[in-house]
Amino acid sequence: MIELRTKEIYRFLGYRNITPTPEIDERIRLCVEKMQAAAAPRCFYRKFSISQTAPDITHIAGLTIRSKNLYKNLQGCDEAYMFAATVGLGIDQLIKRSEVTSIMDAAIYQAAGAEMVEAFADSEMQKLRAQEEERSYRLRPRYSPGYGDLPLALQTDFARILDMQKWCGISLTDTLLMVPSKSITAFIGCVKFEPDERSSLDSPMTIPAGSSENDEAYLADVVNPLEATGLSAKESTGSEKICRNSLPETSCTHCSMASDCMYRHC
Amino acid sequence: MRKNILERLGKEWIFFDGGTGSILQSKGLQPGELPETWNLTHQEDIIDLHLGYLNAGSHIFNTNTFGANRLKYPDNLDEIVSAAVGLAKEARRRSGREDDSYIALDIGPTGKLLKPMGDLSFDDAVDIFAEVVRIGAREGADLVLIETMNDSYEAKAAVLAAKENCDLPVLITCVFDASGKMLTGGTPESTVAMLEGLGVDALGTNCSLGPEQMIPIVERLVKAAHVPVLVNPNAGLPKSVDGNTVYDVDAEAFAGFMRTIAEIGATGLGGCCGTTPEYIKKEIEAVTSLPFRAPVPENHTVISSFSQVVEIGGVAKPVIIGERINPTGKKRFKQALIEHDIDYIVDQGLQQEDAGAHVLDVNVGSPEIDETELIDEVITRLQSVLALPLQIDTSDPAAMERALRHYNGKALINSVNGKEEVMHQIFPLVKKYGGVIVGLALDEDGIPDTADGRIRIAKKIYDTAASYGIRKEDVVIDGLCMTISSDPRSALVTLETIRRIRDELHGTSILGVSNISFGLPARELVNSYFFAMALQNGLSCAIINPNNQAMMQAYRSFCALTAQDENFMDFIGAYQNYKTPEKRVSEAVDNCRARVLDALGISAGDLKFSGSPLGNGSKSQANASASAQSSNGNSSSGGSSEGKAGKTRLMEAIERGMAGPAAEATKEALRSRDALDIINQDLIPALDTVGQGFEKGTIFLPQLLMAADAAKTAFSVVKESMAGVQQEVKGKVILATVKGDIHDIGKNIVKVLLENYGYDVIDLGKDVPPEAVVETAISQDVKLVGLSALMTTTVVNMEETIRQLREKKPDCRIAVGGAVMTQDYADKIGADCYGRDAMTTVRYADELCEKGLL
Repeated sequence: MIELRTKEIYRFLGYRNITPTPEIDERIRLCVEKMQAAAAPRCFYRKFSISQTAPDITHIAGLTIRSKNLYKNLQGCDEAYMFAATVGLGIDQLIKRSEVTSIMDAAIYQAAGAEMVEAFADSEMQKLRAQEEERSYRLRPRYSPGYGDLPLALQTDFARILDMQKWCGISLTDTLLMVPSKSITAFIGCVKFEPDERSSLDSPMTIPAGSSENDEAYLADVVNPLEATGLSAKESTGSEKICRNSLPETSCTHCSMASDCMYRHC
Repeated sequence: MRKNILERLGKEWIFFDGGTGSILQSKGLQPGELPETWNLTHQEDIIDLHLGYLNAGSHIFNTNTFGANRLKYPDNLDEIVSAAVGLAKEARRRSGREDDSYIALDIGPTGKLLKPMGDLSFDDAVDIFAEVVRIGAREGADLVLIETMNDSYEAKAAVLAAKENCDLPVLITCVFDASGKMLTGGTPESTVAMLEGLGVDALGTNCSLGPEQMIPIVERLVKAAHVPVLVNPNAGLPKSVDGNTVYDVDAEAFAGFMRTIAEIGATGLGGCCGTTPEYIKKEIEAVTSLPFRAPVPENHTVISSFSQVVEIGGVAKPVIIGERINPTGKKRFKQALIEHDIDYIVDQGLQQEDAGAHVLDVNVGSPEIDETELIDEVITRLQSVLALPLQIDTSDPAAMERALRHYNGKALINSVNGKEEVMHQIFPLVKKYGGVIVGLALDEDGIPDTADGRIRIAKKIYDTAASYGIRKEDVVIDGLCMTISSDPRSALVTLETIRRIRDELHGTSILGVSNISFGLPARELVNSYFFAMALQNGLSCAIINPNNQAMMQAYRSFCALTAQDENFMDFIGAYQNYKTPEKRVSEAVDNCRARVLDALGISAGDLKFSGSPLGNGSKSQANASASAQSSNGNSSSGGSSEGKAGKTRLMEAIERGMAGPAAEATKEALRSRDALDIINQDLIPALDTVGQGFEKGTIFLPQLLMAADAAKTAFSVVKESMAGVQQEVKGKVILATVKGDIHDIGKNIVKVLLENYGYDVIDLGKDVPPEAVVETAISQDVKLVGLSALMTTTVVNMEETIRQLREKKPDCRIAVGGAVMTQDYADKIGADCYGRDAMTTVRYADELCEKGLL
């Protein structure tokens, strides 16, 4: 069972500091009960070494990605996970059904489903964190394609590199939406720390158990991709911000995009 | 000379090959690189891969075409698949096993999820698979192996494509997780029912699990299947070690588990991810030491949805088939058909499911509509929201074929009869798509008036079905129910027919029960008693209205009395709060009295009772319930029809989001008031109070939606009362989630609100192409379009839709909304209104309406 935080469900429902009525709490409880029975959480990840070259370029898993937000998120890391998690199609089926019977239930499933996949991803990350801790690495907060200036177009690379359909049952639509809808893909950076400097440098305070550094500092200030990039919807989806040529120094000459490629090395 | 593989499958141990990916990776395939490209670039490596398995002893080995389809290889699919078959042939030649090995054209999933959850249409999926099948068959594959299917609907598309495009044997294996479910919910039983119906030659499971975890799934497959069962597990469960995927079962242990799996009854065995020729070699040694034994199939009559099976006859409980999705004699339903109100129809289905139906009959035949299109749409919608198997009920063979093609399971099909012409029209469809067919015991000479005559026709139907290869288990005989008012002996004939179908023919039966009382008063009395009698005489399926209390009481009592309700769970679940009719009436009277007294401002305690025969409920109880209602955090009394703040009960029910009371209050109001008056004076003002609260920030979304749900319920009561009457609307609004976007909850919230406010919403659904929006706006002269798009990728399609609307329907206003949308961006792409929240579009529509622009 995945523990859901009621506060977060309220937040996804557009909470406005109003105490929900007992009726609403009861409906949320009933919906969550059905969701727990319908959920089929699955998760898969692989770790890659990364490198960064200014300005704003990150190299990982044969990809060269131009993104200020990702650059900042992974700064100082020498490895990063590519991570995918889902709570399964059962939640989508509940949403679909309740759209006919009760739009309120549909909204609750939608909100609680979002919280469910977040909570599941958090709990899986917690396990990774414990492993990494042992070899003196700590984890950065998750950073997902489609947030801020990190191109949504990376979804196809996640799907391919993690073989997401096989390992998680996540597939993509032509428009890069994930199915099941309650799914997450993300980079998770690993940064080395000296055993005696657990609580220095990045954050002056002692790090509470279970948390990494000061997470906020590594997330985007503006998450909406249209606002973050100031580009059109098409441009902000960002295919041209990714080079998938894994060996640029030898193959740029063969690449059809080479003439106006911002990554071109030769 | 090579024997046909069908002469060997299920008659001796047949071995498949093992994993491909891990072997190719060891030969240098990069993670994320498409393995099928190696058919062109690393031909010797592919031959080597096949040789490994051929030398290990595999009978059936797969071409390297798992991911070969036009989505991944738009430019060179033919070349990739042709090369793959060629390499397999070359490997077989080199191995010297020309005579006893078989090339399987390997077909994996498309990589996309089918509609309605995903964005690939069923017909497109069939096309994609068909293309691969045609190339592989042309190049000389010996059979088609469809594998790693994790969605039953996609599996159906692949099997149909194979059957329609080649004559090769078709084998299929699906993926189940440890709980025995496919990704989209299918179980071993539901999958077997559907795939056998489609005529596969063998079926089974592969991938996802190791052999040990597969054992319970194999047991279920073997029990359900009539065709040979195939099992190709992974080499255990995957683990990530230093960035590589490794599996935890070695070849020796793998072979041991496979021996167990063979003992359970699987007769085709191989391996999947992580297995190598060594695994297959050891597996062959372990299994061939067992004497070959094929399991004896069990006969049962089974229908299925994408995730559930319902068994008919045998030891199974009698099956309730809900009859409400049918326009006969229902004004409101006919209206829904004409107005294309699919939600209403779907809701009828959901209500029957809640009432206890096991199967839903679907009949949308009506002279005013295109039945083929509509039954297709209704079936598709129903199977996207509920998991009950469906009975496809139509007399139009074209409509039946379309429905069967798009049905995600093995349907109950209604119907054929003993007429030669009808049987020859319908049985080929049953054979092709699978299903359990209802055979009416009538023929060219009409309905026999004796059981002898009906039994004779039943035999004719069985025999003709058998000549098409349809098993007797897949035929259910309708003994025919004719009203006793025209022939007093008709019930006796029907009951005798039912009994003899069971005892003499050893078959299963079905009846449309309620016909029996046609023309009589108090029909539910006759119906429910006849129903119990029919059940006692062996009726297997009853088509009834499950919302009718008397019928379900008869059914549940019968099951309880005949030891078919374990621990009386169903009975107790339904009736633990049962009240006798007298008690219900007396409570209703008490409630009513309390409300009247309350409205008059008299305390019930002040009154003396005159000993009314019905009013024997206690005064204090009536009092308590009235005061409990009025203490519910609201100043006015819940019991009165007009509360102290000048609010009607209906208004209060809506404001507090109570659907049940809202419906009750509406029914009551309709007795004395005009429907339009109720809408304008109560419904909309109440909703508006809530809407304003939402806009001011004093209530939050769930409260708004709860009120919207209550208003919707009240509306449906009003609508029911006005069925057939032309209704006034404020204006038409088109709502659509744009092309490529499959999440439409935001749009659906806006839809419910707009409808509540009296707008006629034309809901085009999700994934709607720009052209469809424009066409509808023009053809119906709609002046307001609401578009929703979730992500940047679909905002692009929103921009295109706006561009086309501006060009072709310039007087149309456009409101937009969605997760990444902003006011700035809405302005930039030329929208007239940015719907920041649920209420904005309603207010915008009202504004246009006031200006007379809608």
